[in-house]
Amino acid sequence: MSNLELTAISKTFGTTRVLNDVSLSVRDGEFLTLVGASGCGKSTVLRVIAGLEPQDAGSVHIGGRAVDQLRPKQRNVAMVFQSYALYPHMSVAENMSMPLVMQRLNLAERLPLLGRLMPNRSRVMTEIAAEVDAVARQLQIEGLLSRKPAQLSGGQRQRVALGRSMVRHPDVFLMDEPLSNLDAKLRVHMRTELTELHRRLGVTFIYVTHDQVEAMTMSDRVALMDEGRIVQLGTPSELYHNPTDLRVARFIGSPQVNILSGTTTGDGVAVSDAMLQIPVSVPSGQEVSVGLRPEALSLDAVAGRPHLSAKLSHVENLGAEVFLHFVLPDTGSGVVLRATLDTYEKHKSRFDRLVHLSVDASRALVFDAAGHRVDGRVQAALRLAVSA
Amino acid sequence: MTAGVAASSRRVSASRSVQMRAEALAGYAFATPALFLIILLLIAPIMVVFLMSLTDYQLGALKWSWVGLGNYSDLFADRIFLRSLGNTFIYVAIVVPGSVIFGLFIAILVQERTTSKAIYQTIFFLPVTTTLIAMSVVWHFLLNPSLGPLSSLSRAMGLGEFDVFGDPDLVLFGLAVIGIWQLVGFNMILFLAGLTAIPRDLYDAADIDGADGAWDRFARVTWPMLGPTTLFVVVTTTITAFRVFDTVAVITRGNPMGRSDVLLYTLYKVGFQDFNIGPASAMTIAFLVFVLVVALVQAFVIDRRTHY
Repeated sequence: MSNLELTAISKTFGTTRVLNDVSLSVRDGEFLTLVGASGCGKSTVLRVIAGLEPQDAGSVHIGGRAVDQLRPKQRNVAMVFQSYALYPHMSVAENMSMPLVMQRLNLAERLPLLGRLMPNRSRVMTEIAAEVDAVARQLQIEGLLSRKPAQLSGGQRQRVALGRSMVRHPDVFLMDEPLSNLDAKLRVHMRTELTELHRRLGVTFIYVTHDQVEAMTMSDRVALMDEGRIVQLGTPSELYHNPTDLRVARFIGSPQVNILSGTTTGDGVAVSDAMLQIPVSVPSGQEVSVGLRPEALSLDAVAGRPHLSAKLSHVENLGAEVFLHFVLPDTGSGVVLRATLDTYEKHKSRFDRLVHLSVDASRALVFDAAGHRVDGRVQAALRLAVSA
Repeated sequence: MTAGVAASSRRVSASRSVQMRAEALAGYAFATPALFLIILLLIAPIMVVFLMSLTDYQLGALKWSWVGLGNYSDLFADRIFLRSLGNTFIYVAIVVPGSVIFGLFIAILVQERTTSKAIYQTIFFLPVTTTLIAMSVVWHFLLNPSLGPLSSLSRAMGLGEFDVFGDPDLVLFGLAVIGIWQLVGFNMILFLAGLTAIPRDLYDAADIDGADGAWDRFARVTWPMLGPTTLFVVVTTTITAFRVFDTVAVITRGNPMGRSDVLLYTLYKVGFQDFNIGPASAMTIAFLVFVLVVALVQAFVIDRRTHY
């Protein structure tokens, strides 16, 4: 039982409000990601959970127990830092032993020279060494135990930091952008490795990142944060297909969602030269933003679908698929379309003229001026969520 | 055809080597003024002192002769020299740990202040900016057995008066206290710089790992991370302490009974009061060797254990 509960956490640094009434409920064994641009407060949430930063209001429960008054070590959480925060003067083995040494040896036994004279010490140290060894083997760093952090590569340091957090069998793992100091290739690899590790340990992971790809690919659920609040909490697929807020739509997805301005009419939304038949909950004649994911547009004409006239500006070829960048001549705004290479080849000859992009109106996301979703689909989804 | 290619590549490599030689010459040309100054200002004076240490030259004398290593062998038979060497070592052995530990202690205390940090920093740094000769006069008064306030205090407490600079067993400690007082501020500044450079993350990690008590934070993070700073502080402090002169010259003049004779003061007496330049030069060389040995030992032996 180590579910984690944040209730109405607020935190102010000086005059800036970094966390504003953040509530979050994490299930036991869940992989939850806090994602957002830098400065949105996601790392502060992690530090509040760890006890490194006291919150001004609200409370934290881990496994049903209020931990607000407890020091970090008493909360039984482990943290992996962006910088890894390995002790540079200690070997890998010493780094990894640190949490156990602090837990199991008393002050006298930890003293530099006198400690060796204490009767218990050598027995406990042997136990610790065995446990460290076992964790090191799991992470395949058993050959590095005698090295200093400076002699390790970025990926190896990352594993040592993971190892240090694993040895104590924490209730919750807190990870603060652990992959952002790795090169792109290693990052992709470690993504799989971390999800694998999570599956194997079955322990709650709270993962902080600014990278939406990491959030989408690794998590059970994602909480998108902005200006100290959780904007939307849901599965990666919910956040992608059914964002409740324009900020979520913009943040999640690569290439970014196309945002076009439109006007509501009696029976839908007019965008450029297309008329999208979608029920919206705002009166007609209002300015709205229409979000179209790159795959909601297609080059092939589909019967009954409205279309946008657009001119190709440039092509990004990714091999298996292409991103086609178009400009709408009447507003000058750009849209990106995702197409397979074959479709692109088929239509290639037409790109010197205006082309028609058919719009899948059922996938359009409509937001009002304040950035809230206003099309009928989200209402249905929200009703579903409430009834469930 | 191939011959032509070979010839042209030979020409290319020939012109390249000409260019490289020209660049090397230019490099030496640019370095020459600095080299000249180093020789003129650093190496030549040391060489001159070394040569003088092999003579019986007396200041102002018209005649002198080579005495070989005679001055050196006299030196190590000279009771006064050996005594001042011993006193200097005792002085260094008190001042270095004293000013390093106090400097670190104050730096840690000051570091934790937020608004008053600048004030404390300035206060502790003040002794560094003062003239030690002037301050020696003040210390002399403070510790004066009949007029000084400290003595009045001890009299008032019924402990009787004490004469720090007149007591053969206390005089070096008295001088060392002044030395520590003067060095603490400088060491504090160096330690503060070192403390600021320790990543905050390490303390966060230590908190999570359970090393959150003051002692554990110090022993597991602060102290090891300050290794390079400490090494530097110890080396500079040792060298400064070795050069103790002002306080001795102003306050004690080596008294009582030569118990506060230190290396530089003896050197000054021999060289500039007795005008025996030869032996004084030998002392200078001996002094340089001691300082050099200290610096080398610290740089090569300890350095390897403090950089990670």
